[in-house]
Amino acid sequence: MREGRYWVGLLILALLGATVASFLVAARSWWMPPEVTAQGHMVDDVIHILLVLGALFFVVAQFFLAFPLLRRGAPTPGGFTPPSLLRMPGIAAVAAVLVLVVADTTVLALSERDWFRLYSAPPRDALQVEVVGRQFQWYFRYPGPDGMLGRVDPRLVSPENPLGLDPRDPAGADDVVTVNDLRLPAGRPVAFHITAVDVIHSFNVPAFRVKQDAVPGRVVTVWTTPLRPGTYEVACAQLCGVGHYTMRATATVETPEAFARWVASQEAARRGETPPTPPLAPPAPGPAGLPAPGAGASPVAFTVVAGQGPSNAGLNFDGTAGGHLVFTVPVGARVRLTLVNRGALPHSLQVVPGTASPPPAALPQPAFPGAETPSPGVGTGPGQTAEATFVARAPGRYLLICGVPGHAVAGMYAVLDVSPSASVRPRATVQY
Amino acid sequence: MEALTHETIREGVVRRYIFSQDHKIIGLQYLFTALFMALVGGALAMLMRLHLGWPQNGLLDPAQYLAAVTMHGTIMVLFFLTTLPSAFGNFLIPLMIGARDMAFPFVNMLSYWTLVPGVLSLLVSFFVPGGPAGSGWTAYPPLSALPQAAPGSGLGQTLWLVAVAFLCMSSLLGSLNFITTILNLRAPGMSMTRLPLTIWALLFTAIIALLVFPVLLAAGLMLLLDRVAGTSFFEPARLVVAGQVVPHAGGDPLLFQHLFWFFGHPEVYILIIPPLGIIADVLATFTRTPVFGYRAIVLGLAGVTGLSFLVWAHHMYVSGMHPLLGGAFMATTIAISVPFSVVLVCLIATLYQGQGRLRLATPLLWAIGMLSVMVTGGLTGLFLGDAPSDLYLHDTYWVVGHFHFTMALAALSGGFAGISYWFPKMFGRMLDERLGRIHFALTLPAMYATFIPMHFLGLRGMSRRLYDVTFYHFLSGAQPVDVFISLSAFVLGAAQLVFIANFFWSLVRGPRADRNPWRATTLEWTADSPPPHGNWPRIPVVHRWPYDYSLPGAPEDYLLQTVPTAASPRGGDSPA
Repeated sequence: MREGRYWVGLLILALLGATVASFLVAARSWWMPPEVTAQGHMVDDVIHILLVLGALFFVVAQFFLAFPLLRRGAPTPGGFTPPSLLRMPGIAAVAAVLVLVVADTTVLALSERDWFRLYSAPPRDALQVEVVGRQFQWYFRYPGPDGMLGRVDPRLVSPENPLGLDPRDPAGADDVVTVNDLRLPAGRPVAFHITAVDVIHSFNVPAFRVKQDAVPGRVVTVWTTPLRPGTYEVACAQLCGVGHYTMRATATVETPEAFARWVASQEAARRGETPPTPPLAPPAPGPAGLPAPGAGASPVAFTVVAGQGPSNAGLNFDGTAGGHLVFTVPVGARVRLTLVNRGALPHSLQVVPGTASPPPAALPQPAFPGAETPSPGVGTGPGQTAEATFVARAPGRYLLICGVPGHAVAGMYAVLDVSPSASVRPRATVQY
Repeated sequence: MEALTHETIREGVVRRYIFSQDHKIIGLQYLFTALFMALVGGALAMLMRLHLGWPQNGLLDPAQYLAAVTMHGTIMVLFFLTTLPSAFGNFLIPLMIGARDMAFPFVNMLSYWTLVPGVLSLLVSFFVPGGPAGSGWTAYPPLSALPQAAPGSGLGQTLWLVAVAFLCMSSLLGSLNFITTILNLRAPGMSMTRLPLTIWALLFTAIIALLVFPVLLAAGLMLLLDRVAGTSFFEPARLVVAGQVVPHAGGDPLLFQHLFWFFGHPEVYILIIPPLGIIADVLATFTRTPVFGYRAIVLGLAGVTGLSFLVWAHHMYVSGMHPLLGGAFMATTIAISVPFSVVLVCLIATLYQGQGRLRLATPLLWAIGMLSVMVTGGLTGLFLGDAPSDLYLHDTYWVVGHFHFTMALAALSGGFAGISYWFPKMFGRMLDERLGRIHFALTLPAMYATFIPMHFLGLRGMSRRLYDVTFYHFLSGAQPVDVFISLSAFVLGAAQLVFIANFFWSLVRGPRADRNPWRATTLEWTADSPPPHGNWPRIPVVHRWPYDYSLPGAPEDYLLQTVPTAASPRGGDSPA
């Protein structure tokens, strides 16, 4: 029976070789993104030490598994006497455990030191940024010139006030809030005060070697010092619902001068001197004056651009997401929506009932007959155009969603406000 | 008890095969339930890989994908790999310690029939509005507590919690029975130091299960109350979900994580300790040598059992708990690697010392495979037990690769070793050796090809449970790796068809097995194959430890535990 066992030993050796080789290949192609902070090397150092130690133990252990199957051993005649601890494999076994204990202790000492450095109190001059996770966006709040974050109250939360900032608190008057857009100056420590408003998210910036769960009901502070200017991605690392995979933001590290300019522009926007975001150019609403209600009248026409720029990872209408774009039409109006897809993914339009959370995908029936582009669950391809014409028969607030699965819950929806007054002027506005 | 033999009990089919109190029938009921759940969980895995390899096809929508992730994890961890040790324990404990049945046969039957409603509840949840639970097998609140937070957090999540509660109660009843039986019903002469390592492993497993399943039950019931009775164990005040303020206040989401992982980490040892015991017995039988370091293995397993209750928060380094706790749990986690590696080193040494006498057979192949994947998974675990490196690798595909190597592949390999080793005793027929080797030779490389590349995705920074990674520029190069993983997973899945075919073909057509086809030493091989109700006409008397292989001067290269020591001048007990 013994002669048939070589293949097993060779199989183990082949797996050993393939695993080591694949790690070497991966080190060139799919390795950690370069770390760009003053502290990130501590994480990388530990990972590298563990990789070397792990590879050593891996090779030795797998080799000892394969070795007995490859040896042309012959049974010693007269039965088997258990080896004493002073001979193979006793010595090897004791040595292996001792080496492991020494290696473990060394790595532990190093890791404990680095762990408490990484979680030390932030320096006093650190830039303070509040990070708030919310299905499925990241909100970043800067305290403004007074250095104080204003009070928030969940009862004040609305599409216009996503964090529930209390307007009566003067400390909040100069707060700057951005959505999925984190700006940081290079070379200055930054303290992230991380929390969430609905479920647990995780603030994960791979290039910063920062990962911290955002837990509703508590604020956890971590800090780092970004050094290299550039744009890095923020990804949610904790399952937070159907749109988890879309919860992406960018972290832009700029020179201190560029950061100061950005802060000044935000302050100016806050005071209302310029629009808060680049002009979104909502398409001109339909014909001026009062559109005659009902079929036959010239329709209220809106053009909606899907995938306009990188906002919300491309999942946007006219560059907006999360219901900030509001179309208002009078009840009974004939509405014609033209979808222009400038994004990289298929998109669609569908009017659905509801004002709060959008459905994950297109519904079987839109809110009004015809109020959807063709095959809203599949969508219209990049560069293509589609139309939907319907009569806004019943007043109320509706959601205008992208029906492609996962897009609406990721924030790709706008609001359609069918006003009970037939005399209201059709318009498209951006409301924050 | 002495009179309860097969001949004296006349039972109908229902009492004999369905509501049976015979430990062997209950063991097989567990075995078939576990294998059925493995098929369901495996099918979900194939579905996930089909989606992840080619996300642009939109096979699943995001809610369906998360449901598949959640149900795959739940079914595999709780309803397959936790149920499999129950199958071995029920079948083997009385047979290996020399008892006629479990200490409480009725409780034993009850434990299986408590599992069944759990299984049904989980299966029914696939068909309810909103679909099955989609908050991961860890079911962290508030996502799992608030129906408005996700489509799967509706009725599906409630049924999930009901299923888990039934599983907890079933495991409690089972582990009570295991401990009582092992401690009290051993045959004359079967001292604790003469127990086969499979039994030691099942004893430690039962102790862990007895202490941690009540905690999971408590956490599950608290979450259930939060959902249906308006309590707020896990929801803090001022939550705003889907634009509405939630009427909960005063709870803490981290409390659930502490309770869950107080169960969750020892649970890993519940899955992995029984296979370690099984392969110890398999290695001894097929190397024809005593297990190297019997006492060191027992002490190592005891050390792992004790420390397993002190490492749970290494799952929570970045959860928001105090970093001092992270420092402490890192020390206990590194410490547990020492007794664990003692066990692994002793098992590898057993193979090494037996190289001259080794007999190749499917159970031995799987024992070697189990050691191979266990070593690999153990080493990748160091990166996650170490807090600074976990800071980067937490919740990435590194974690997915690691825990599949340890608790999935190692437990599965140990399960294959056990099934192929005891199949003749369970069914009285032999498995086909050639198909067994083909199955092994296909499966082990496919395991590595599927799960090693996940470590690269983790190093790249790819988070788990992402429906579509193309949203992220820094993951743009990852898609070819995902395609490779999917293709490997399909090979892995297809290879299991060989096992299923072998299992059912041999069940009907396999050659008849005699009492002791492997010429092994332990007590179950002194009973008929398959053993009748009551196991033996007379309870065997034990005279020696279970590893008297190749004893110098002995007439054969093995001595059954029932052979009196007078018949052979040496051996009889563990040498050290």
